[in-house]
Amino acid sequence: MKPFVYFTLGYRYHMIKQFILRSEDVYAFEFGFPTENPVYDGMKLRRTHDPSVNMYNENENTEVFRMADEVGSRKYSLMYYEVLKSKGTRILDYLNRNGFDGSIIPDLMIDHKDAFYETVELLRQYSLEYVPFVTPITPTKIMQDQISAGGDWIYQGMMPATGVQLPYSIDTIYGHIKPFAGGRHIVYGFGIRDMETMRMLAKYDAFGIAVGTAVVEMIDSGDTVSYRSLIDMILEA
Amino acid sequence: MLIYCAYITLLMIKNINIDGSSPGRSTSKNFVMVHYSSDHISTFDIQRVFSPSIIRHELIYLDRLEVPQDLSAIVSRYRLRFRGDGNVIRLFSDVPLVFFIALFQVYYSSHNIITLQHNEDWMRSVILASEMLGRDIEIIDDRSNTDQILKRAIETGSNIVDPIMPNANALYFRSIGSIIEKPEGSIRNIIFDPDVPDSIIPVLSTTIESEGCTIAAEGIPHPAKIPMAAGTMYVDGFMIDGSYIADPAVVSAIKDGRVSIRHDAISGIIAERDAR
Repeated sequence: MKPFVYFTLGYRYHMIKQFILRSEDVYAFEFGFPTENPVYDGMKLRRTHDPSVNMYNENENTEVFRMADEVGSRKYSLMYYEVLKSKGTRILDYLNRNGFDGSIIPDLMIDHKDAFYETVELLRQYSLEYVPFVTPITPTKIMQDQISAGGDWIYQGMMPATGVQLPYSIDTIYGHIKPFAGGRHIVYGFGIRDMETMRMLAKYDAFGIAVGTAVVEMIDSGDTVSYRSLIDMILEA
Repeated sequence: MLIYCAYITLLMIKNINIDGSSPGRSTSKNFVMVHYSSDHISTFDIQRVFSPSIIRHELIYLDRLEVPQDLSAIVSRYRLRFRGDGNVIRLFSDVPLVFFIALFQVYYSSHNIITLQHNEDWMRSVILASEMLGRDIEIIDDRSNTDQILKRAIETGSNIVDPIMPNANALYFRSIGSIIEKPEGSIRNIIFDPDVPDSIIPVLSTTIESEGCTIAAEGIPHPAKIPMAAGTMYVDGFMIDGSYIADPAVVSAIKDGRVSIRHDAISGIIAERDAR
């Protein structure tokens, strides 16, 4: 399967670069733009947004993006709607100029539904693909609207927030998304870090696995070896 | 009309609407909540102590529930109706509103059920539902003792039932929409006491086509991490006057400013007819 790796921009740039150097065959990076209220992130990812530890810097970003390009990976932004609202089209232009492929806006259809179509159109104007983001408790109508506006893959969060473990069965989650996927690739994310789960997801049409919280833990401990093992595990699953 | 106007004027209303234009109803549009696992309770234990159907109803979005015939027969014995002649009418129910939450959960649980001690309405409801469906019930006196209820549930093979299960509650109340009798005239507002099960508000609001929604309380809602499922999980919601607001649609409406606050003491649920 394809690895999708999340980093919060501004959180330990030095380690992000070390990890990107060990990211051969990573299919895509999701770069999170820091925000004051990352509500759909779990506790560990929320901490990476905290201004006391997040040193967001566009010069550093440029270097990170260049390294990601050298790996040959796609680039997606993960930003909350508030970030887009506060920065306006400047951030879309920034993403476009830096060669981003698309954008995941996790709260768009949840908390800012009225802005949905306008936002998708804005992304299109800046040649950015809208990535549908769904969880097991996304209503079917909202799922349909998102998927029809999106590109060739869907981000299926296994949990309603990152870094939490709730007693879902993969079978039930797949049953929730499958009728609406329409042949698009499904990338599963949130709380996935073991080979058993990855192999099981492979049986459920998984195109890729997104990892975030596990990577943050490895960044915190400077554990580039475990990071590479995680990527290899996804590639082998 | 005069009485109605005087009544409204005397009340101190704090409107927390942002634009004041959106109706306070929402059953499924804003359904996604953030759930947190407990720090110390494993998902394996949660799976062992709750009925799989209840976990599914709680954690996977379902547009509707096919109500089994025997359960439907029980629900159809009851009616939720408004009474009153003036512009202000009150919702009456033969059983506490929380009975419907208890009934659904007891129905989908195993023979042995267990609950933490909650308020009188919940205890009355869960005992009534258990008697109707032939279940054995155990009550844990200390309502905050999640560890004890988990331990006992595992030891005895019981299923936990709990009044706070936000998504499931919303699903159960949507399933009983047919027993709500629509009052005559157009309804401009529903006002509810934060002690009522908030999950009924969206379905009630939709069924009777109310234009607005108001919480009667002394304070204002504060964002809070609400313990649910007997404290095994948490959800982002609001706390007001010591009561939880955890229903996804109501929480979303509060966030969007589609719910007003009226500083007044009201018991239960009342509706205001449009005087125009």
